[in-house]
Amino acid sequence: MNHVESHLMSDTKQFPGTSAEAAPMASGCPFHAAATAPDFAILREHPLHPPEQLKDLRQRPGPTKVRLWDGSETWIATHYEDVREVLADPRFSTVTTRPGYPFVSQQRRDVLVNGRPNFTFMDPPDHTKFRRTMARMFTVERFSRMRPFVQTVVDDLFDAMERKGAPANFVDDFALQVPVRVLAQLVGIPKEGQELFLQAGKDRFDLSGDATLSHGSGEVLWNYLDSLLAENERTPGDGDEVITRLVVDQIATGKFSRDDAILVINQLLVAGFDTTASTITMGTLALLENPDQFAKLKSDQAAVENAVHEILRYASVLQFHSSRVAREDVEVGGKLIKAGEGMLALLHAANRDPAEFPEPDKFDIERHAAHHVAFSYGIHQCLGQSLARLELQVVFSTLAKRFPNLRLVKPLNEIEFAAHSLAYGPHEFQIEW
Amino acid sequence: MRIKVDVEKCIGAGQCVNAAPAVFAQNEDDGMVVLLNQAPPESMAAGVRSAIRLCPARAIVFDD
Repeated sequence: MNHVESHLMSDTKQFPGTSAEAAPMASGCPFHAAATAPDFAILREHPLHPPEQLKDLRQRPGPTKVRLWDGSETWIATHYEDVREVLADPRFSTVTTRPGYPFVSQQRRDVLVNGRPNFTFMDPPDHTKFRRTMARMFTVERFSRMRPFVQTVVDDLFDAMERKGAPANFVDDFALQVPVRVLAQLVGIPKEGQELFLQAGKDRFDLSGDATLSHGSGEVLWNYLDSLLAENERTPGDGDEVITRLVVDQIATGKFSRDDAILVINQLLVAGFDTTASTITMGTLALLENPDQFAKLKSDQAAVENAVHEILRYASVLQFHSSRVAREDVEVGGKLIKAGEGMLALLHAANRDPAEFPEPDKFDIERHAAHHVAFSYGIHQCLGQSLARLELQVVFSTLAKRFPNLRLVKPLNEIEFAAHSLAYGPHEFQIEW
Repeated sequence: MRIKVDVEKCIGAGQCVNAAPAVFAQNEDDGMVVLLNQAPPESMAAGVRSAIRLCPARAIVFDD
């Protein structure tokens, strides 16, 4: 999109009551703003690739400025090294109530400003208490013990798919089911609670949606977890589910309030399934669109570990998550980011930076890609990444083994995608084999 | 090669354990890094360099 178009487009949009306080620069000098900051592109030209705009902006050195939906300007980092620098630098805050924090949509602003902040949106030292408490339950060793369970989940779902016969709904009947069942087991959520966190996550991630929906389903989940914890406090278990460990090690010892515990469980449930499900679907689409790569995986099961790094890099489903605001002046990639200015450290842009990943738009399961930033970077990097990798390894090795003739019922260009979701991915598609 | 870790910076992401399991482990009590070998042999250098690169908290450094 050229600057004239973007300027016209934003003029036609109405965001009453927001532009004046959010964008003093833009209102003071509209032509300057339009000339220097293009509208931030949300929509993709191709479902498997981030918006072309990011490629254009990456031609320039360092971070550049874009204009958001409310007329405010923010920096965006599109270079791999800049993205890592921002995310590792404690001078950038994730606290959404700090003036200048960039919200990528109105829904996002309403959800984050009016909701309870989870520890993604805390800086140290507040963040440290939660992160450290969770880290002990999320070690590599702890997760590796879950491999047989994950394999059983995947086998059961594929068995059911085969019994029912082709075609199958890949998103609802498989991709979503894997993380929902694994998370329920990890945390200790009975079956009746699974629908609640599925809905809460969907509503929260829909950036184009109505924030009241997210608040509504979020409250239902919160109240459910509150009663589940109360029950566990009355009769504590002795297993290693997250809920039991929180009750026994944290609440009973006075380190956590019940609300603290609900907050972290809520975060795990909501953060853990849509992201994983979308990586399963996007990875499957990447393999089906690149049959030579799928063939490599079929012929060499040991390739799956590396293939999962590449799937994570290539899919980079968390597309607009890493908003930051500078607490003080910081130089990034040769640009001065002033205190109070917003910054979007774009993970999917970093993962397609040709300076770090040659021919970045090529899907190559033998590529060295373990250092991708699909799980973000810095102190907020995904807590459950070892579990996510494990789920993806089991899914893709089993898929290649059991369904070597897997194919799409409808071609890629007829599949609908959740373009406005925090986690990009297809709404639904059918497969046959 | 000599390395050191900063437990205060560590967030327990476990990337080092994946990259070089003979050199790094996670403390059972809090999930934080435990350095098993301060002077890993050359044969482990690639894994250690990878761990340094992957650590999201930049808690592992060369000690020279």
